[in-house]
Amino acid sequence: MKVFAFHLMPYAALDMSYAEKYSSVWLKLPNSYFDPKIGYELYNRYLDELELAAELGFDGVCVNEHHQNAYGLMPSPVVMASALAGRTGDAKIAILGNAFGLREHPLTLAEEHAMIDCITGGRLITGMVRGVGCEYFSMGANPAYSLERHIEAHDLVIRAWTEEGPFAFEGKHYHFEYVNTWPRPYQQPHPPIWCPSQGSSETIKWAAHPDRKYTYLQTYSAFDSVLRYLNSYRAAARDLYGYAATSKQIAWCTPAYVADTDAQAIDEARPHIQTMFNKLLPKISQSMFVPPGYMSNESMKQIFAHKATLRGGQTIEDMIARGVIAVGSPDTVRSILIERHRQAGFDHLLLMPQFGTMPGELAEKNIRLLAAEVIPALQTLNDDDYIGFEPAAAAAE
Amino acid sequence: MNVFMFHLMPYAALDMKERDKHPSAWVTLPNKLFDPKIGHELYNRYLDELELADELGFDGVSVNEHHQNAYGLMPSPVVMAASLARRTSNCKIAILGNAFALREHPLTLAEEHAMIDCITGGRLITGFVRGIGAEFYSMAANPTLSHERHMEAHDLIIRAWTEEGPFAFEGKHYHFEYVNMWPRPYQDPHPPIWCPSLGSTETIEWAAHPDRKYVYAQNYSPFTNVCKFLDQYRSTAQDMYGYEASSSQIGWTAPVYVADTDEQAVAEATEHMEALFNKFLYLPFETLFPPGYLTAQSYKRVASHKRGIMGSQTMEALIENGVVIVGSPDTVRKKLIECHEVLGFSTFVALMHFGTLPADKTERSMRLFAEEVLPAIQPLSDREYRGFEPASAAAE
Repeated sequence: MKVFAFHLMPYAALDMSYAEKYSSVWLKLPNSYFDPKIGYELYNRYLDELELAAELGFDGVCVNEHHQNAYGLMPSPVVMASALAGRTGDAKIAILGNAFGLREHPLTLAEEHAMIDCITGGRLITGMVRGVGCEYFSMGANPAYSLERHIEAHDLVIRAWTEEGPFAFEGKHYHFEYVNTWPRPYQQPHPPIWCPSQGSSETIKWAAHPDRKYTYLQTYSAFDSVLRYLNSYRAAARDLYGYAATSKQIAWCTPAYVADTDAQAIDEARPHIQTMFNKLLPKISQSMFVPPGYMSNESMKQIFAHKATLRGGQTIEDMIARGVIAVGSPDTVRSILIERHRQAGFDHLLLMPQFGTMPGELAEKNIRLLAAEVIPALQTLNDDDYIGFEPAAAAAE
Repeated sequence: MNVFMFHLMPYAALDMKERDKHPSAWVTLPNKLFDPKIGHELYNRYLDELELADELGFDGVSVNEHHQNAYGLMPSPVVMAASLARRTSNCKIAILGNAFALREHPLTLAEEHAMIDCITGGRLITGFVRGIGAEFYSMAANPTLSHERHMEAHDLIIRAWTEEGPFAFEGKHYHFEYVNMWPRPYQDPHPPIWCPSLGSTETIEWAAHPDRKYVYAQNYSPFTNVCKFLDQYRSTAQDMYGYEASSSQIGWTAPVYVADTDEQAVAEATEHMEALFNKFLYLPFETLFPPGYLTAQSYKRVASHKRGIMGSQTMEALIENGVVIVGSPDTVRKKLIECHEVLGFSTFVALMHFGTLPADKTERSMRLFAEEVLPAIQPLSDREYRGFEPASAAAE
């Protein structure tokens, strides 16, 4: 198993009294809440944290894209991946992801990913996402076209990366007379592609298609939901497409916090994880996160059912009990993660070692403990430690 | 004077025989001619060169944007500026520039510049360019709307950087219900803005406007034209807007090569400099200036000035016309002091790598320049400038 460090780069200095006036930290929270001097310190601290993770033996580092919010200060993960390029040794750099279909010019992102892949000598992983609903308000984009633009942008980018240019591309949404990307990516045929998702069935079916077999990454959810979604990917591969998905196609992301004892870990992580879930994370109940047309009815129902319980008034005890997060002593966290792998068989595990308002000293201590006490035991796990996929069991759920 | 090192990051390994089968190194030059393994080495070498410039005492490093070509491998200067952010410590990082208006979402670039400005604690300089004509083919953008989109994108971004969000922006080309930039830039009110240009009158008048007073940077042209354009900026400030432009608003960009003697410098640089002008930079006129990209007035002016530098250039002519500065440390130092005396630019952007120039020569030239030339030109100020004489500008 490969273990990655994922960072959201939240605006940890947020004045939490915002909640008296604003319903969320997304889209409309005035940017006067952001102090650039503090932003300077946070960005550099967060980059230090990812560089430390790479140095201490994590297999990769991960960044992502969200616009106009205090939850994650990375409207451009390209900036962060570039900043990390020359400072992370051999570690992979995963952009999880970029919203190609949000742009009128998805090729600008394709160019940037190709540049980073060349600079790093092939250490880039490209995540393709549609962007959360909120992004459609920030970008003035039509959510009803989200899925078909996502797919068309993907097709354009893959052709630009693999076919000799120049060629013309005439799609429904994108029209370019001269597609001829300079530079081309370092990796052949192109960087590995991952699909981070909240669990939409369209994404799962699309990613699992035999032409793609892209790594499906389930973002944080209660573990029974995670298991269901990851198994639905395996089920799609088998039932729709007639092949057995490998564990390399499966990834899971979870906040993780380790201290000397369970009690100390819970105590130290509590305010920060509760802030993240209760104050910073999008509230799915709000229309701006699921704008009309963004999802099929089927997906919307599923996601509401799974995600609704995650939002608002969470306690760390609930989150631990439901397997949304992994918190405890090194022994506890190691055994939790080994057990998760035994059940779900993911070949990629993304740990989020900093979350919410967690200060630098705790984040660093956590990264060091994870690297020393937890990760080595996970990196040796493989399919021998996985119970295997049982489609009957998945179908019965 | 602030001295910057500029890099184009050309694909120096280009197979010139293959190149010559195509009209130019732009837009349609097949990307199979790009080998990613070589690209990996070149990118890292070029980044090393810019990092060395920081160590050697240059005031800044510069990168820029061009798509689908072998002339410069930076479709995104943002990637390069971000890569340099934590690998340089003192120097400014100038993006010269980004073509904001080529995008339907110029705010994505504004976000990226704000991020880099925050990461570097305010070392970013933002260049606003329209992109050369070739870009409009690559991006399938309409060149006739270029100028007005450029100005509208600028207005949107300045408001996004300086006004409290969220607010709605309803322009002719851009429509956003919620402009609310997270993060905001580190520098207050925003990073300094430069306008690199080939010399269009619209750009000069727009940049010189008292609301903006942006740094105007003339890029490679014969020195007589550089004089004409830079003086035009000063006379525009004086005659149209009634203020005296300061030298801090004036910049010049030129390729530079230094070796122990003039002869050695010329001998070593000739092949690589001629490759820059004749193999990499050359563009058919209609690709450089597609219909509608310039007003008729600017088109006439730029055409007459630029035709002179496109096509088969020789090193002798380039030096003679003052397009490039090549020679011993003494020669280069004197030349720059002289040019500054005439033009009073407080920013000089030196293209220390060009065309196919190999790594060892680039590094040696950079070190010689940093040791022998930089210390003499960095202290130059308006005291050494003969001063602006509007009459002489008008007479030309």
